[in-house]
Amino acid sequence: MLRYVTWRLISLIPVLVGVAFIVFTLLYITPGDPARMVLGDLATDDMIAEFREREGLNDPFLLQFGRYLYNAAAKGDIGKSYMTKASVSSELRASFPDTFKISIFAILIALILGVPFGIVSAVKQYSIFDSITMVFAMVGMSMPVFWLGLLLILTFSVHLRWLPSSGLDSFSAMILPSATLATQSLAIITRMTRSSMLEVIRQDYIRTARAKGQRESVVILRHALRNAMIPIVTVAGVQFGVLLGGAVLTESIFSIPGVGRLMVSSIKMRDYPIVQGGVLFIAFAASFVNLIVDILYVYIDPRIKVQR
Amino acid sequence: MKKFFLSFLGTAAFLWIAAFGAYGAYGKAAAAEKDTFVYGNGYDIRTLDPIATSDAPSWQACRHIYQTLIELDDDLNVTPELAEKYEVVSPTLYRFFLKKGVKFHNGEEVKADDVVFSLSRALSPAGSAVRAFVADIDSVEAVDEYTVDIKLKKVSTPFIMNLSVPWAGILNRKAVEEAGENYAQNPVGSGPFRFESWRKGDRVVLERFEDFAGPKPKYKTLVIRAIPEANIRAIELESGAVDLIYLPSTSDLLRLEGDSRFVTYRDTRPAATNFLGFNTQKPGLDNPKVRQALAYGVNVKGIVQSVFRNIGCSPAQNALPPGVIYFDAENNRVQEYDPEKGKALLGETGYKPDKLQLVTNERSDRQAMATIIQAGFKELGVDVEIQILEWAAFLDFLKEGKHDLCILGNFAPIPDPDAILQSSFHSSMARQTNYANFADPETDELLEKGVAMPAGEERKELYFKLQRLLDEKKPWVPLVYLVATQLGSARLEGVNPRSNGGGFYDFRKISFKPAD
Repeated sequence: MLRYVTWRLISLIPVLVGVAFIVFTLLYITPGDPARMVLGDLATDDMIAEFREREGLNDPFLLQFGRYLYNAAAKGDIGKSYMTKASVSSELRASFPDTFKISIFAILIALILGVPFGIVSAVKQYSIFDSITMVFAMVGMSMPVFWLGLLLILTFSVHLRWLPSSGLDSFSAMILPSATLATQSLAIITRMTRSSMLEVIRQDYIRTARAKGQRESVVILRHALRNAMIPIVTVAGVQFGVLLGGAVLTESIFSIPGVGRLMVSSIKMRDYPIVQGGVLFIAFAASFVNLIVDILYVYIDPRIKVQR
Repeated sequence: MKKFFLSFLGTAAFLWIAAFGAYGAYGKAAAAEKDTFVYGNGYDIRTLDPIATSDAPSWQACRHIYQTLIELDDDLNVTPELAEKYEVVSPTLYRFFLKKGVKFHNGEEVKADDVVFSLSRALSPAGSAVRAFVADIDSVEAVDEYTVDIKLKKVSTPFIMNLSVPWAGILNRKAVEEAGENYAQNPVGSGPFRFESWRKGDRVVLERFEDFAGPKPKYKTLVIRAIPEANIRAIELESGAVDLIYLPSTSDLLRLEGDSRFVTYRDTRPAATNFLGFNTQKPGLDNPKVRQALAYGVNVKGIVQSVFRNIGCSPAQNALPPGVIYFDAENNRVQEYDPEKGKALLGETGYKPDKLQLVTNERSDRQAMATIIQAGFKELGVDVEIQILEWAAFLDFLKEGKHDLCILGNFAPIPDPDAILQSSFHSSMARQTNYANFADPETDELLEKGVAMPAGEERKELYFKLQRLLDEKKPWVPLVYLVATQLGSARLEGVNPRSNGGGFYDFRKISFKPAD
């Protein structure tokens, strides 16, 4: 297992280099001069030239990219913000915990509610419960986040005054953003659980288990669910990876200074080092979650063996 | 199955109780004590180094951390701050006498060396963002421990007012040198609040400085929050999490203005203007007659009514906003909308462009203004193509002079006409902040005379003449004056509606009425 994990981590390197290359290329061709954004409207041409020289922005593209990779690999230095002069890693360290908090809470909500709803929907296929759940799942998938977030704030913060509408100062403050963020994942996990369970409960071994006289709950939870888990875990992993990338709209609505907002403000300011570091970090986080999901497969289904 | 659902219900109940228990405690704590003033701003601050930026949110915080040598009172008179007095030794030499015993937040005394260090730093390349404010300064020298001379390159009447803007905040030399590149995150000034913490994208927390030399604020903690969504700012105000918000949305203003729990504060001296700029370097548009003709297609009153619903703005009369001295209030020059007249005039000039490109940034009000202008120009028989660019790309586009027309805004950081007119219309500022790329010898001459002329009737006449001239030559069609608006809790006292044009307010005099 250790060998497998090590190999997977090593195989992340070309992925990250590829991501870095794409981000570098995109920023290189994007209009908007970082020197002008940082130095302001009135900066003279000399000042702009001096800034570009100091930050290496006049160097050929490949040289800039190579230097970035070298600094990252050899010194663990992914740059400093043009604007605040703080290191990119410290900026990410400051914003990631908030994104992580709401993401983990959101995926928990999605799993805690989505899996049981999906199971019951599958077991009671075509029942009223199934129909209602599927309608809600459809609505959840199609509802715009900014609208849902505002609706939740109006209901729970303004009218009922039960929950705070912004920040993440307390546990209660995490509920609305996490619920907003969870809605889409909840809908997807519910649908995935339902379809995966439907496939499994039609298998012969389920009929056999029932024929042996086992209780329905044992048949569903022990025999069916375990076999239906692989696609559910895959989808949950992908969803979690997406959430870790920062949910710009949710973070803006609830005034949460997470990775999403950091990235958007840095893109607007052409703060290239933060954008590059941020995208690399998100790519790493998503790949890491994928790795965890792959490892979970082994525990869910012992027939799966890790191999290079 | 039952067990599973029971445990699921149990978990949900636990989470629910934990959540509301925590929120209940939070609500009680908030109600019990009110020695924290929370401000809801629309934007995040960029830096706490006052010369590294010129954006209003950053200066909002800097204004409370640092002190300047002088400041402007409500009647725009220069009053002492760190300097107890100043002398004009010669038209190009100002001498400032510092108050003694004023302390920085780190306990050091404010001395001439700190003043020289701070202002000289602004003159260096590090101060590029504030170049407009320091352009007239030649050198800053200490005469003795408490006396500083500022020598100017040329006579400049607005210079003294420039020293009241937060860029001129006095920093502690030792703190800057010790912090190095990290200074922006560890600022040390001598202002009424000392820096406590800054959570990027979220809030800056400042604590009252107990050794402050002037009148101390009545509350202990000042929190400036970045809440980008206007609706959320209003909701936070309604829920009591925030005491005062900047720029509420029109719909929130309409909804909450009559509510006795809130008070609206409108800047009595608007200093921000949105305008339609013609690129006067483009063939055709370099002819003032063409610009005058096209201006008849701009429906300014329609813009105020349909884009702003008559809230938070007024039709612009001039290149100067009313918050600036020598604003010509007598002559109402709001652009007349008369497509027929415009068409006839345009016919006389023989100008027939294929299509004009109108460029602006992604602000929804500017996009809506662009659409109305496009419709108005259509009436003149001129097709307009609207191009919306993201801010950084927009600035690049303008600097390259590719545009025919642009919609943009500006503001006067000090209430002197030179602060707006020089940067917007002097030929030397073309391709910089003169987005019309306007180059007119008569305008240049008046601008150069005006900046050096001592305050008085003659200077006033000159700027009145300049306003008339700009109206005739039309490098811009001024569209709207934006009235900076704040909405606050009715418990607040001492709110100053003056925004200094760009939306940085003074919170020092704010206090809370006792709760009912």
